[in-house]
Amino acid sequence: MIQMYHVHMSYGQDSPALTDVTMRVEKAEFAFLMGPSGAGKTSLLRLLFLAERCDSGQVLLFGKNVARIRESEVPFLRRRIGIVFQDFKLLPSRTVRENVGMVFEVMGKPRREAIRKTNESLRLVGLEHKASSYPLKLSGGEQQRVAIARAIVNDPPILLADEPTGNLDPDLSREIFDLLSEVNARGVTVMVATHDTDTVGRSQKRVIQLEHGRIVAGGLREQ
Amino acid sequence: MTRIAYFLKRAFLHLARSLTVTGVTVGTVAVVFLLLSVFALVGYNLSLLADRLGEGLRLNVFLADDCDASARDAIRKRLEESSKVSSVVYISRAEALEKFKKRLGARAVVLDGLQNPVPASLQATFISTERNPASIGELAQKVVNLPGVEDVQYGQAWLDKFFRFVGTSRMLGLVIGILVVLAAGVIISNTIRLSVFARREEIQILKLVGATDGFIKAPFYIEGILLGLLGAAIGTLIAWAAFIFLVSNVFVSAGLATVRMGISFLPLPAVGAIVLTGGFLGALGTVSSLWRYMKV
Repeated sequence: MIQMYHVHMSYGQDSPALTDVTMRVEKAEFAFLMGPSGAGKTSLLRLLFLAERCDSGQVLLFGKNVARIRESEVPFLRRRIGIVFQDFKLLPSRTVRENVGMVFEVMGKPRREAIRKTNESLRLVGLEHKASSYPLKLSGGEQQRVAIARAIVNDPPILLADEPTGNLDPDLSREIFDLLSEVNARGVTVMVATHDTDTVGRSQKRVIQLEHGRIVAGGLREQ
Repeated sequence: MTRIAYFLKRAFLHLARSLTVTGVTVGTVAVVFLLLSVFALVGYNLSLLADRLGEGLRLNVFLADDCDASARDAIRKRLEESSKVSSVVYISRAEALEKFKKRLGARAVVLDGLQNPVPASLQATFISTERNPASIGELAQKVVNLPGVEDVQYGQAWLDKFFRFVGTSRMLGLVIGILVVLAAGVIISNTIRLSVFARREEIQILKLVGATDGFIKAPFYIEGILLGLLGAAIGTLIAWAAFIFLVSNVFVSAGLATVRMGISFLPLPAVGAIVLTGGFLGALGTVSSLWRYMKV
């Protein structure tokens, strides 16, 4: 589902963000991306949702090399990838329902389908009763659940999360990880960048370890 | 169709949400277009006046008493050769005398018993685009020294000056008009830039959930065009209201009722063109601000 082969990436003249990264995550797999700050976790995820391009190497999503795809194709690829961020990235001026339903506005899907899927997604994250609230009226944990609802509302095969519990206390963090596991159990490939070692240790899931832009463990399953 | 409705809805929502900025922009653009309309109005009426004065412009070539038919034909031929001339009419001494008598009316008796004092003439009428002192003067120079020509006459010196004034005003109006229009473009562009800046987070999120650039840009274009159209329409409307007020109150009470007869407001196509220019500028201003701020 997600493959990277000998990927190099740098931001301008700075020292490389990723060096010779090779890794593979299978369909419906759950993988943690671990490493200290600055190890390249965010850069790796940004390559996957095409916010950045690599200098060399191959990035394959759904079996297609996306390292060199045209800029005009990017939006359509992103519709097949759900993304969750540490800072939630919700629009404060729109209600929970509008924030989640926005995905269908962008895709130009019929209203009826949008409403049905939005409600379904909010039910899954347990926030159907807060559909008419504004994000800033919700707790941090609830806001992150809204962000997850938005990320999965159109059933993307891949869900990427960048430090999704970075702003949350341990109880809420566990709640979010449980939710991500639940999404994974539905067949979605989930990749989570985090440095929450407690949760990762407990979860028994696969861990890809990054240090100074290199994968030091877990890049390929056989390792 | 639902897409367009969606974009319109978003654009209106954005404009309504930032009512102050919207109001200030529309107001400023309106002032700019008020200025533009006034310039256009003055220019238009000067042109109308010039046309009216131009209609009466003819080149009169007065023939000497000893001018024979062959000399007359040569002069006539020279006049008719010019592409500026639409027709040439010969007025014999007898016809000229008749006209003169008619003009004198009852006082024509003074001519009784006198030898016919008026000369024969060739009168050249010009095509509409050439009815100006410069064109006519040029032709006059060509015929004035021909044998058989006693004198040429075409309007007065003041008319020449007036036409020169109209020409200069047109040029000046054009330059100022372009500057004013550019100013409106910059104002709209800045507003859209503010709008893009205020919504940079929204743009970023939309891009992350897979919005195409077109989807993100469309509401901004609609906003820009609406701001331009609205500002231009209000500016032109104020100009029209001021014009109606001036002609119906000030001119009349100042005893200038006759002035009223000659002047008129801009014709509808011109008003339409001005308002559409506003919309066009809005789109142009949006292009320039999106181009720089869309990279997210």
